[in-house]
Amino acid sequence: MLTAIDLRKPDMVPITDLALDPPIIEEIAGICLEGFSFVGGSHGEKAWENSKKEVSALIKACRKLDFDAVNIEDYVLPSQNYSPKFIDKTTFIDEWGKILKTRSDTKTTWWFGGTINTPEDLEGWQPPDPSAPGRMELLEHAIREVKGEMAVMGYVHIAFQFAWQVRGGLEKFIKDLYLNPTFARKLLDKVFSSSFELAKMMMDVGVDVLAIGDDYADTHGPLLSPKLFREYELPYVRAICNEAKRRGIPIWKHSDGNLYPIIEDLIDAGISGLHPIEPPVMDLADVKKRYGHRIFLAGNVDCRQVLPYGSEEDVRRYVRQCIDSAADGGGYILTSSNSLHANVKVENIYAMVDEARKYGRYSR
Amino acid sequence: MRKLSEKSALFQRITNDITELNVRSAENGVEEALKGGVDPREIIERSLSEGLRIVGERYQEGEYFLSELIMSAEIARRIMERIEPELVSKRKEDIRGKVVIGTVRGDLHDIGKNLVAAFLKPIGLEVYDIGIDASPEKFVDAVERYKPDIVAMGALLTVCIPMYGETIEALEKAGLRKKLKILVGGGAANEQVARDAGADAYAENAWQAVIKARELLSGL
Repeated sequence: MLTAIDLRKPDMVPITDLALDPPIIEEIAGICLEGFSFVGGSHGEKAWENSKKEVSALIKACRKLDFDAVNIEDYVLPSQNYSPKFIDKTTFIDEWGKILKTRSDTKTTWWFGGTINTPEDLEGWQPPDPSAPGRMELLEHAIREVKGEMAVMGYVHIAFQFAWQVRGGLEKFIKDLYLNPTFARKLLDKVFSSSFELAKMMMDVGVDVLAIGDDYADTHGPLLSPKLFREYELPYVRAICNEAKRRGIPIWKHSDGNLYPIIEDLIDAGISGLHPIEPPVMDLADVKKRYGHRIFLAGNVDCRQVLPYGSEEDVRRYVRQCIDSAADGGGYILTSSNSLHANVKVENIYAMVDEARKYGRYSR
Repeated sequence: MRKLSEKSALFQRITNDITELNVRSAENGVEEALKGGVDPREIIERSLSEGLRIVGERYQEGEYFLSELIMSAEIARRIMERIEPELVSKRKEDIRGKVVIGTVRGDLHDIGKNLVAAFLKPIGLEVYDIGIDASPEKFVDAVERYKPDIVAMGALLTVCIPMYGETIEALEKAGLRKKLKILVGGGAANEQVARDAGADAYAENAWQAVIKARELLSGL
């Protein structure tokens, strides 16, 4: 995978995914997980213990799938001291101060609200302490466990996404940017101070790749106008890229949506690659043609229709199409178009990997 | 407001402030117009609707983004809030129609819905927002209560696509469908989804919703 990241041609197209929902991990690894995970990363009462179990199960699943990398997200790296504050049976406040709802059928959570409602709330608010006990232990364990076998990616959110989530919504946060920019900036700075520290610690313990999150776009285009994006978020992207570059660690940028209006900004800021080139709003072959000589591309087997509802042949066809679009000359990693979420059929994941292994050989 | 040209210039200024997202300046302009005795309905017609139309077009053309849509909706909300008390003599003919709007059951997303609601008010529609995660029964109750001309429903999550159809079916079963026009939108929808669900129209974004709502009303 590291060869592909380096824009060179490996022996075959590498395969991985940024996230596997608990039901997928459970089915593939044959392990029953406890608590709630993935989107929001809170794990019932025993958050840390449950995360530990999930990271082990995730490694087992990635191994069984013959993936080339395992991605450890900040979501699954809680402090040992953390336990979610439940407001009611299905709603709780996480380590960041985001309000999340649980979904017991998929063992996932989804964002529901935030806890920063006033400037005073912001004054009193502290983001999670990256150096809190136990946080790095799970990542270090993963690195030890798979060294030499798979690459390890560490995934952090940067500023924008957690800022609007802890603020209580994108709408509120966007209004802040226009009406109370000092407040918005302060919130972003506070979020970033924590995530930047976490990113540095991930690199300290030896991740092979630093993945950076935050969705910047929907299918129409960027959520923030390019002007706001450049002013408020891009400097953080640049700072994190500079730090990684200084250490010789590649940056894998994830963002859903149509990124065309800001893709040049991201490349100039120093990202090494982009994921997942969301279909159909971004065309993998087109992005390869225009930017493939500057960044590696990861994506984009459709997880909206094809992986959940498609037949095995649909999946195989789609995989071949991705490889045809982006694998030429290297610099391409095959993943789903977002994540292997709970609706995805497990047999389709196996078909995806199998087809990529057969069709993705550079010597074929 | 003494001269007609002065009035036109003021309308133009407010429109520009809306399209350029100058909140305070737009509010001041509205205040000035009201103080000068301008009919508030004219402010809505000539500045607010026009401003939102331009913002909507710029969004469609890729010149504006979600952030501008949200902020223009916020300006519209503020202006409407200021103007509404002045509309005490609101006559029946000023109301062009009523809309019940909501995000369907299972979906908690409300940005798109809020934008559509904010864009529909200035074209003379009374908007009843029944919120997010609205069950078919909730839509039925709201239609019985408010007797709207249009029901607008949205969803972002594709897993909620069946809810468009189920909601429309519930309205049919309650005998309310015939007199209603149904507008479907949101990230989960497209023309095909809207057709399959049995809706009368599909709108891709907030400004499209305005256009479609006008069309639906003229067909009533």
